[in-house]
Amino acid sequence: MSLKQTKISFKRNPQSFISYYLDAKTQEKTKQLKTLSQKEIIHFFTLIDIKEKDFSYKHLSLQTKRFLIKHLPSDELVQWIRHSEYQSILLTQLDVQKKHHIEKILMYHETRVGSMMQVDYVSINANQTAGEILNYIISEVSEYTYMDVLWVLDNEHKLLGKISLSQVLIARKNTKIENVYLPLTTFLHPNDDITQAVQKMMNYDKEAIAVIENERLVGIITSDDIFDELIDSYEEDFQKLANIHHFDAGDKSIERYKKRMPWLFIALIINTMVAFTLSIFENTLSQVTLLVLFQPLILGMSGNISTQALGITLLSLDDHHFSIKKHLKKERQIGMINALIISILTLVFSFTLLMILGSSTIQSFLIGIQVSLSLLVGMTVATNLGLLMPLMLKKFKKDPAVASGPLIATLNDFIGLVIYFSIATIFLAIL
Amino acid sequence: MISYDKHGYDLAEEILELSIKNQKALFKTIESDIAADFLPYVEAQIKVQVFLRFPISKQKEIVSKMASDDVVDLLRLLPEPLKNKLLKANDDQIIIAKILELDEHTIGAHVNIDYCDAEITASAKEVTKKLIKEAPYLDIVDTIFIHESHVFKGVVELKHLLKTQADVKMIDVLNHYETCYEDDSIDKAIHILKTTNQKMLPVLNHKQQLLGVITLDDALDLLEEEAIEDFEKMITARMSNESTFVRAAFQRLPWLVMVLVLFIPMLFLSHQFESIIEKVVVLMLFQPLILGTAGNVATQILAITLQNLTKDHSKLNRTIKKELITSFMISFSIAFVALIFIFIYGSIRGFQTPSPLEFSLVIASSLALTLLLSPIIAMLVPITLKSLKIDPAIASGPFITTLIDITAILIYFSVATLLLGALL
Repeated sequence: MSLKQTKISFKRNPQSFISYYLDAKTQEKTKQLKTLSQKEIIHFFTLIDIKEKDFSYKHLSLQTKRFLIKHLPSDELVQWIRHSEYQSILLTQLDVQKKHHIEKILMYHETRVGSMMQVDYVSINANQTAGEILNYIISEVSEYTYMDVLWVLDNEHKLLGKISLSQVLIARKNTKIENVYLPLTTFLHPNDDITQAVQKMMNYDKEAIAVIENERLVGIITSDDIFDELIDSYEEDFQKLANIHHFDAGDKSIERYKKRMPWLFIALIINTMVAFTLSIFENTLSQVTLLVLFQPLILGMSGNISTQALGITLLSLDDHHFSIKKHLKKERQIGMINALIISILTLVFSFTLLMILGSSTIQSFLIGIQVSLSLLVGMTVATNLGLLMPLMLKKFKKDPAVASGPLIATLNDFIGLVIYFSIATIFLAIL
Repeated sequence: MISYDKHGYDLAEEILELSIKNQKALFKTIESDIAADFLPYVEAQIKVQVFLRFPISKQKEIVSKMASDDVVDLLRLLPEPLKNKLLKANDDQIIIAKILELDEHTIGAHVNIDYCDAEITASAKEVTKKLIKEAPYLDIVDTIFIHESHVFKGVVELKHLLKTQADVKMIDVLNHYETCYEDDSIDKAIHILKTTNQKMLPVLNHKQQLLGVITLDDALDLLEEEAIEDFEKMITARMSNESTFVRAAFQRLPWLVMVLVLFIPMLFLSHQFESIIEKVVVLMLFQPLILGTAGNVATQILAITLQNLTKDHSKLNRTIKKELITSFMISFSIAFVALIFIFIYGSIRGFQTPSPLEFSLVIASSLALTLLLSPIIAMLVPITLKSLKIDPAIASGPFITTLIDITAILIYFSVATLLLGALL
């Protein structure tokens, strides 16, 4: 089997090489590493995670190590150095200029544009001709540099705009760049939040955006950085909504258990306390046991409508046209209409069903009224909870998605049931 | 007066601020390439309305100036007669018609066809010449797609092409690229782009011929749409640009009504157990605990299963095994804690019949059973749906919640009847 396996060529099929490599034992891994050329090593390093990078690096020849450090794209390199066990060793391997660049990038917090920017770009002078630029690129620039877009500077090194490599290729050899480049439409600052970079990339330029400090180009953000960032953030949102924070597909059963147990445990305690509190209604309940039949409906409805309001609020928060006032007004109206329609439907439903189950007409009607009234109030409250929780969390600079957590769900349940049982108690007292 | 010297996105925002009358007036005189520049940035819901405000004579011109994937996006939205008319005017009508036929949820429907291709035997000089000649009409210029008698072979990046000696043949410089088929899902395509760090994804038909290319910027848009769609399915509500809140409300109503309808079997089920509830009223107070805990666990497992179903298909079996073990551990720990907790609760409340121990046993064993069963349901339902070729994501709606609720109620009251029935 191992004979057949070793034939997997990285050049022909990098993906299967990598999945084979990741499952292999240490000895086999080092053997496989030796089959890669220097160029392939670079490609290989862009495809594996930090842990594997550290491991593989250890087993490379001195020469390959040097080549790798010199040519690995700067954003990959920074990511690696930031989390590597060998941080200090790796830094000493860099040449002075690159080390200076990378240390600067490392100083930015991971949520800032500065921390993800790439510094292997090509900047050109506006006075140069297309022919000069092409010659420069063909003879001087390393093929690992990002050069689909070239950055155009004036004589004082201020950034004027950009031009794509293909434009340079198409232009006549003696055309001056200043006559053909595209002026800057958008740019970022190293201290901008990464979410701003995502927004700008989605709206303006899906190739590369300049990062500018004092009108000087200090780095670029490219679409593949944003792509990864976006995938991660969507996955995170989805996971938060499903209450599987920090979920990692590689986790073993025991790790999953440890991560999920705490809040299930908390939910258990709170629910017991809820039951304890609700037992003040025990007298009412023992007189109208039919109420229990509708308990799941009350809980389910307020849960659902609150999830709708909450989810839409979370989605809207990402929109830069978002206005809290308008959003609240519209969502409250939507919630009201649906609560009203559902309560009326429920009245008809529950009356019919109770009749089928053999209750008297008056009793069916009375319980129907109680249930639908509770739904009306409960769903209205739940809508507001779903709307306000994320907005409040956002105001206090907390993550709004936390609002989808189990505590809020339990709070929803609790309020719903208190309303339900209170209304039932009032009815009992009156009649 | 609007200045056109700005990005298409800003231009679109500014033009949409104008009244419809002013827009129509503006569209009479606007250059068609400026229109082709901003139209792709108009949101899908209003794109057709905006496009129809252009004079008919201009519409053809605009379409001819737009990138092929933007053309497909627009044509897909237009009414049939106009679509066919505009299609006929397009140079690439045959291939665009083919793309329009593909299902919107497959990756083939979103490809860009304005790329440069070359035979595997062509030399670097020939390819460079071809590229320079075609470039003004292309969208994708940074990568050249290489084929051998129409079968896709690989790519050569422009920057490598420039550094290659003039007489070197493409076969000696081409790079292997991961590809996907036109009928693959969007999720799969995104997954490939994520794991490979390619900037392009060639999309092939089943004859291994290149249909078109998904560029990273297309993928960014697709990713956003897919993610929002998944999210919307999970919350059973959709972001709407509906002008009136009444319409938006009606859009969300079906799911709520569904909850009501699905509630009917639950009601009949609980009704079967009314006698035990009448005798032990406190059972009612703990129903939310049982249903809530089962629901919480099920939501988690469902989300994990859905993510695995779309992405790491190969790891599904391993995930299922891990999740089952996790569920076992969670089930027993929670049951154990509940036993102690409810016992204390019962003692404080001074339970007579059932005794605190009996009652805590009922709750603990119900919890243990529901916590074992609900993850299994939450895994099986989406997998079954998928094998029936139904979108597994619909499971995240009220269906699964109701199914879990019914199971939990059945377990809870059966256990109660079994353990307490004889006592009373």
